Amino acid sequence: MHDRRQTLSASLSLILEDAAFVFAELVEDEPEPFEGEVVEASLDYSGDRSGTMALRMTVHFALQVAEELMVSGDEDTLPEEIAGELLNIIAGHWVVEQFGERTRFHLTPPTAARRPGDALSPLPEDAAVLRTDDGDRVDLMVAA
Amino acid sequence: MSVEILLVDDSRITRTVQARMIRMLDLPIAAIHEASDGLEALLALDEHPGVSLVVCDLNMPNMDGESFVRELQRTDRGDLDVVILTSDRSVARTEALLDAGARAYITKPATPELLRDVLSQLLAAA
Repeated sequence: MHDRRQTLSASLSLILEDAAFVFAELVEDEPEPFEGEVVEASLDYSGDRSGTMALRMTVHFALQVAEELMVSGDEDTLPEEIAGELLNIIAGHWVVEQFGERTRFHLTPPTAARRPGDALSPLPEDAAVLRTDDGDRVDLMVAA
Repeated sequence: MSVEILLVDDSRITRTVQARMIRMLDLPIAAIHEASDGLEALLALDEHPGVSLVVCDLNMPNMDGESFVRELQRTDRGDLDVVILTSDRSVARTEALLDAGARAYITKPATPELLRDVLSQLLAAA
């Protein structure tokens, strides 16, 4: 089994780049707090392995990704859709990277909600915090 | 010969991006229809009998992609080309879907080049 933080970071940065055309790197030091409202998406994976994965980003960043993808929609729901779909892709990538390509698993549809940036639950120690080229913070974590 | 395609995914974002990507591929596309899960997809196929290619997600509510592919084999539309486009990269799942009747399996995010290659091959063979 690979180091969880490294595999989370690798999956998150790869999918941000391939799916959202955003470049991001792992933050090694204590991360700066989120600025503004945050959208948090989560889903469960089950099967050979089980757990819950969550992705956090600012609402502003999610809307930027939507613009990059030329996807329009209601700003009241678009960040949640963006975060949820990115998480879905990341989870599919990460479970195989972490547990092997013969792993059988199922992903629940993602759910997403907004929270104030200063009202988030503490990050697990093995969470991956990435910072994009434009300075946006994106967190990925697993509870298993 | 122009073809009708059905996109099946519970994510509106994904359907929007995929539809745009497919339209940019310079393939003979007559129409792109959408459905948000396997059940809707089966209804869409009744409404649009001209569909000859389905691009389908795996993890969806109501009826997932694998159930849709298996159900399709039980109907008179079992000859449809179904391309699975999913975040699930496991070999076990790939094999199961191809055994169930899917013609191709692509993992997200799909590049335009890969989509074009897969769809072109299926359209040429049709």
